[in-house]
Amino acid sequence: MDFFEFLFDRFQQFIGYTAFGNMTWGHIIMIAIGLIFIYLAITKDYEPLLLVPIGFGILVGNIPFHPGLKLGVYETGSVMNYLYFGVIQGVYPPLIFLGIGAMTDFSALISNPKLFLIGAAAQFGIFGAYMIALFLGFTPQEAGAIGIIGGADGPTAIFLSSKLAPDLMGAIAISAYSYMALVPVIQPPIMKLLTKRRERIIRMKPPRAVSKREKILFPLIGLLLTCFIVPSGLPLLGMLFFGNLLKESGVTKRLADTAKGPLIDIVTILIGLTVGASTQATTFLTMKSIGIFALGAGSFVIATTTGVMFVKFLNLFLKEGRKINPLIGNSGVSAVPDSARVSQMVGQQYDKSNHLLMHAMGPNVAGVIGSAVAAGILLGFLY
Amino acid sequence: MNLRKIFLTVLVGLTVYANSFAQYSSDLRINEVQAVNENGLEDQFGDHVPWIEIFNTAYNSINMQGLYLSNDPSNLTRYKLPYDTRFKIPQRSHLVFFCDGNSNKGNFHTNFQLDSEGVVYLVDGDGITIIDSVSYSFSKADISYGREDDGANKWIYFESGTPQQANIPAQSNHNAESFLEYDPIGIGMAIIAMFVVMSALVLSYLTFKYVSRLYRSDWKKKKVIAETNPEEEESESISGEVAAAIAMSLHIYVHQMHDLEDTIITIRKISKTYSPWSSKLYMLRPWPHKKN
Repeated sequence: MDFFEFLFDRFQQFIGYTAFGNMTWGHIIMIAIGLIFIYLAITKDYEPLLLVPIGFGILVGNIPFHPGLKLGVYETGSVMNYLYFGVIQGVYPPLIFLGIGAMTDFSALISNPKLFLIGAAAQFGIFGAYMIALFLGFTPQEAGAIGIIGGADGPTAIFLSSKLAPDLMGAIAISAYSYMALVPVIQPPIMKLLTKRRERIIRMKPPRAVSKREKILFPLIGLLLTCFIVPSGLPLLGMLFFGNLLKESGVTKRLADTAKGPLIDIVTILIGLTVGASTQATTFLTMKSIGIFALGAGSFVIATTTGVMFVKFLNLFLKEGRKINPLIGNSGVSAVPDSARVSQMVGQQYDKSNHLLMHAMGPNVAGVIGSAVAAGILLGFLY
Repeated sequence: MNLRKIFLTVLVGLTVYANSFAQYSSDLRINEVQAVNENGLEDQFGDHVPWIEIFNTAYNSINMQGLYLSNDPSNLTRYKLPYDTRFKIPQRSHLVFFCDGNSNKGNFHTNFQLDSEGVVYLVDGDGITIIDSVSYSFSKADISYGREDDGANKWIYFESGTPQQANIPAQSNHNAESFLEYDPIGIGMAIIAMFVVMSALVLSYLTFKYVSRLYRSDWKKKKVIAETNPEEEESESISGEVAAAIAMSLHIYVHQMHDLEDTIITIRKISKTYSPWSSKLYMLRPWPHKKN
């Protein structure tokens, strides 16, 4: 072997180690999807706190490399694999729920508790998607994990899919976050289709003032009520109510500030990046992933529909002056606060002085509780 | 006296310290056995031979040196584990021994061989105390018999062995399978689950609707108002504009709060800037000059 042959040989070996040498069409497609996510987040402001880490994670996860170098998220011993541990073992979602609890004001719900029911009704999207997924040939565990997309709650979707269908977790998480970002696009046509003009201009009574004592008791009673019925929802509900108690107790401001600030930010970065990186083309680009995206859209549509229709049903039994504007029915899906903003936005189109945001926050936070309860049920039945 | 106290304290401290790192061989368990190995774990020579797995249930490392392994109840000291640093099992970890009757292959090979049916003993250094034992019987090759979970009491058969790894039974989800069998379209699940979700949230609704009145601080006051004029509360709904104006007023009040302007002056900054009016030089009378 002469000198030039040696150099050429080594150069060829080097090329084999580069991303160009391992590139497939799947990687190119996934990188394009990652770039679209980042574009949507930065230019359209669609859920930037989630789509930027996920989009960048997709880029990181789809840079092709020679296997065995302990680089990929699925390779034991790699840095990404260590970070991914928090996802597959369901560590990150409860921590995010802690932060959500610490930043959520449940006053709207406490002042008008019947909004709980709207949050419950919207969870039908989960089980509607579960039925369709079963019909399409998914296993019960996979169907349960896919159905939870309809809960419109990213951490819950990740938590449940990591337990029931770890192989599908990447697709489910991406689908859930994508549709959460697209709530302002998906929900308004359904809301308008299902309501009449006179229903859209219903004015609701302003929420009453909620005392501090009520706010403190809410997480305690809420925890005991929901977790006694569905103990399998404890990781999510426990942390949600604990975070809320930190906020409302008034004596743990530092802890609440950490939970809703640095802690949730760190966990969001880690969960976004690793979930994005888990969408390696080799495992992500399958027919199942396409099916999951279709079912995710279906579950969102069902959840919005049932939420709005349930309010209309409820109005049949309510006296004039106490009726609920059905435009807040969509907020039962727990994409906080986007779906509540959609209620406000659509409501404003028909009556500029009718502010639905605070009313919509009630079912919105009830939806968070409802989807966590639903996840607990699916976990209890199918795990 | 003081020296005695110090001595006792040090003695107790050392005892506690030593105990915290004490190695209790009783924390060891025979965790898994595979007596008929045709396609399973290979030894360092590439041979498929019977093996047993020992699990350290403790949270400190334990050295197995000096303990005994045996398959003969009449001879519990059949194979003494010699000095070997590799016999130190870290906390919650596993160690595999090949029971092929060929101890000249290395320290991890016992001098007895397991049959398809029999008993294995793990015996303490005194050669009498049985730390753990298990009876097994294999009807086919390559299955293993192990604790359901590492260190658990229940023993089950595994379709394939899990040497040096946690004992995890084959993935079979009876819950999900039964749902698929009895509820193939998922309507049962939907009904049950929605019923449970509804129950949880209806219960929450009722609780916060009725029970919350008990602890509302203004409950008594409201009751009095309701009794005197039940219609009044209904008619006292505040419009969104009024609520916004009140909120804005409160915001301005809280964030732009300052002293009453006509009674108190708040001096925020004190500085001594130069001015000829306050200059000492100009305030002093000039030094008298003597004129000649």
